[in-house]
Amino acid sequence: MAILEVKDLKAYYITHRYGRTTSVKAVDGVSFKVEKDEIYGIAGESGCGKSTLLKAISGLVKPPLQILEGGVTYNFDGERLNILALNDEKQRRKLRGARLSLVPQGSMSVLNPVRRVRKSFEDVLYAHFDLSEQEFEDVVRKHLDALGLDWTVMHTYPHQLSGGMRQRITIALSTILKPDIIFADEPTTALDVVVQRGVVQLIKKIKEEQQNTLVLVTHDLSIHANLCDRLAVMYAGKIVEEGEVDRIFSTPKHPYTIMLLNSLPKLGDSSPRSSAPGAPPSLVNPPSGCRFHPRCPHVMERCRTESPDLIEMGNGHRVACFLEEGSK
Amino acid sequence: MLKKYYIPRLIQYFTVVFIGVTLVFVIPRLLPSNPVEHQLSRMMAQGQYLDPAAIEEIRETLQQLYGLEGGAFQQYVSYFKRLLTGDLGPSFTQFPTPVMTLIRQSLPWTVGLLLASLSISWIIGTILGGIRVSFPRSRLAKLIELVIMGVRPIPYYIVALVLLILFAFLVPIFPMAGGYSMGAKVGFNARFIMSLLRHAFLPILSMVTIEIGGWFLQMRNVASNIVEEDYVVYAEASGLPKAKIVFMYIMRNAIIPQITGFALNLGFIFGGALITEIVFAYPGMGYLLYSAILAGDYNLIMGINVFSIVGVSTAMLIVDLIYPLLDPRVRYQ
Amino acid sequence: MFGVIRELYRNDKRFAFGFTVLAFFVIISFASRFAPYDMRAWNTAPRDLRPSLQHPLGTNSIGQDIMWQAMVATRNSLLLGLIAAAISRVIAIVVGLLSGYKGGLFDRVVMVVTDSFIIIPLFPILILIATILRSSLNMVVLGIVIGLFGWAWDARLFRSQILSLKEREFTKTAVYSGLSTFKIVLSEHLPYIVPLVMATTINNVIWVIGMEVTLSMLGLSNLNTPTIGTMIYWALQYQAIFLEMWNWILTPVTICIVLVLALYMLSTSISEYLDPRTRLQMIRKR
Repeated sequence: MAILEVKDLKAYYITHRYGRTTSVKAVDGVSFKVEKDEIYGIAGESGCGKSTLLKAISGLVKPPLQILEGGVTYNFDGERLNILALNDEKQRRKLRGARLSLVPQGSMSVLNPVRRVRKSFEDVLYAHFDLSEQEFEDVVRKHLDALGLDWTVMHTYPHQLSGGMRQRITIALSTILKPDIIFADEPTTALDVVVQRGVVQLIKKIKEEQQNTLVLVTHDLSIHANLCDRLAVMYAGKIVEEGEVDRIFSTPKHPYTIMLLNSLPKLGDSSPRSSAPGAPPSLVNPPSGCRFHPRCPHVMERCRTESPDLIEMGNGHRVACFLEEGSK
Repeated sequence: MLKKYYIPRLIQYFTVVFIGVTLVFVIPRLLPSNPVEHQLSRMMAQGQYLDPAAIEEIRETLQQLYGLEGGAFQQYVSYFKRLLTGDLGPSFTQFPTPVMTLIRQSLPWTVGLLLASLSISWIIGTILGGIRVSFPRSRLAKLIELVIMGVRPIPYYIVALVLLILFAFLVPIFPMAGGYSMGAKVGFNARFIMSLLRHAFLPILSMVTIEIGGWFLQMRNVASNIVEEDYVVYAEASGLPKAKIVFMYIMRNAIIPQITGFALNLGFIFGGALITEIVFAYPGMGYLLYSAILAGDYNLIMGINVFSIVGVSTAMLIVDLIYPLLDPRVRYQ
Repeated sequence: MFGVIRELYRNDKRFAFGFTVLAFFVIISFASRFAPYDMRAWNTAPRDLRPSLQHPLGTNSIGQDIMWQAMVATRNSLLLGLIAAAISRVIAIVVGLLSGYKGGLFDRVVMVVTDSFIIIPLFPILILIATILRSSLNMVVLGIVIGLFGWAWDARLFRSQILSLKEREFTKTAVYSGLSTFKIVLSEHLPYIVPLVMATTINNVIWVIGMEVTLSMLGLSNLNTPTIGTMIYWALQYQAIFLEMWNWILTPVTICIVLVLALYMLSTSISEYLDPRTRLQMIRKR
């Protein structure tokens, strides 16, 4: 049963300045489903619209970001909710943090710099539940213990902690209410490699204990390979390939996915790695037709004018490429 | 913490006072006009007949008064010596009342005016600025912004004058001049306090009107950066109530630079208070300055200068010393 | 340059308002050359006339035509603003650039002095100078005096701009490719500084106009030269408020408010245009 269903989602940043209207087509017609209890990965270069997609999915839409069309439907124990159709901001707030939760990028400033860590926990917990002080302490202590964090961090200010510690605390904070679905947005990006490993293991551990669904967004394919069940590859605001992780890593179909995988180092292979040639396209004036065509080694005449749809290759493996259309 | 934060602040404080006070010492000596001769010609122009010997005597007295005896360096040293003992010399027109006494009499009025207008404008401006950013689509907030920004650039003097014409002359609700009514008995009684408030109302209003704009603008700029900070986005994503986000996440963080702004604008605002007092004949330091200008009392003008420099920098130092209480990042370095 | 002005004029109401009003005042300033008599002289017109065809804004109690008086005053105030702003710009740019590029001990010493000029209340100091110079205060001297004190804030601004430019990628590229410092400054950094100088100039002119009004109100300027400030001074000296001669007192007050507002709108509009965040959106568009 799908816990999250995204359908034809279009989210643009629209600005009007000096008489000109600009729209950044960050998410342009994206559809996918996330099954309950699975780990769903979203991969792509920076600036391909991954973060915007997460914002839209969690209903964090405010100008200049606008939803042009599409729906984001959650299914919490049989209760179906389209978060974008909820008129009341209050209802959306009730969902956020409690049923769906966001683990943000591991940057310096995720925690309020002028509030002690304890206050941040209070803010989140009291936003959703009326608790006594004792209950609050019990809940937090239990959660911190489970994650192997020490209670003393509660008395510190964020700037007194190391980057890895801050990120662990952020993860603890995001998961304290046992959300049904967790969105992790580049959770390891700003951390050094040793710390990254710890953070990945922490996320995995929580997922196993709390039995929740995890959507993992990162450009780091090795993390996807380690953690995810299924993977979607995004390019310029669209999903170009989706399927089970093993399948995508063993038999990638889309030229872009192939390019990404070729840039990864492999054990025992000492030939030089090829990097992806060209730069990701502008989302203001994306290329016509298939957005990947300017960088594609197999570009055909048709790719310049027509935009390919995702087609089913069997076993849930979907690809948006005209090459595959012919082979099918 | 002490070494990184307080010591540089203290050095800064002493440098500012030193440079400012030196400036006040140097300027009259650099300029082509000699205050002593100026004073003498003024006295003669007022029709006093003085025989040459008397003129010589007065000249000498004046030179002593202004501390103009001896070489430049010697003058400079004795000038600082006098300042350290709080001696700003005598006022010339109200001889032999010390300048310090005159300043002490008018200081409470100015400080009161400054404290009232600063706190009112700071609170209103800061809150409105925060609201403007937190509710970007509110039409009312936009309208308020338009009005505030429309008043902001107008000089203190013009705003005070317009308010005076409007509310003391055309619609005479408030008195035109003074600090309290002649009839009121000075002391802690209702009538005196009412009179005090009535007289202070327009001066405070005119200062508040202008100063709100500065705080508003600064708050708006800082806060509009803070709304995009990760911790605000994350607070939204955690489903925190809007009010909590506005006050404890956006405003609370924006207030920190707002305090620094307090200190940096103090000199400008102090000047504004002086101007406002002159327009409303409010008995503070501005009015004292005005009477010194009218009377050509250099020593009083210099004394007010020295006092303002020391006063404003000390106020700034105090703000700097309080600042770490608001920002844990400074406090726990 | 003209392209930017046209773009702002079309799309930013504030800019359009500010630009139009300023243009109007500039035209008036030039037209003031055709004043029928010397505007410094008294009793060149009948006294205390209400507005009429011959004297559209009436005349004042010292026998001057208020309209012509106001036109000359506008010119003089703008001129004074330009003189003072030009002087303080030169100081601010030299201090800001030197401090920003040299860095080190020089930068620290210069910045302590600059900060002192920001913190010290300038108004009483200007009064001290003006009182001493009173007899010899003409427009140019007054402009120089005000200009000598209005640079500190902007020097700091220019310095911080230089510091951030120094850190940018293109500067480093230019340095590694062996371009001389001087060339880098001229070709790479100046284009960023010039618009900033423009915006601060306007703000400085606003400050100077206000300062002139204030000093004149205290009698601390050449009171025979018509400026916005001296017009108000004479109106108040002759009790224009109590005599309800609104045409006399309100003309300079209105000019001051409208002029300052127009300049302010121009400067906010320009600095918003220069704001890196809005700039980014502009660049992305192209």
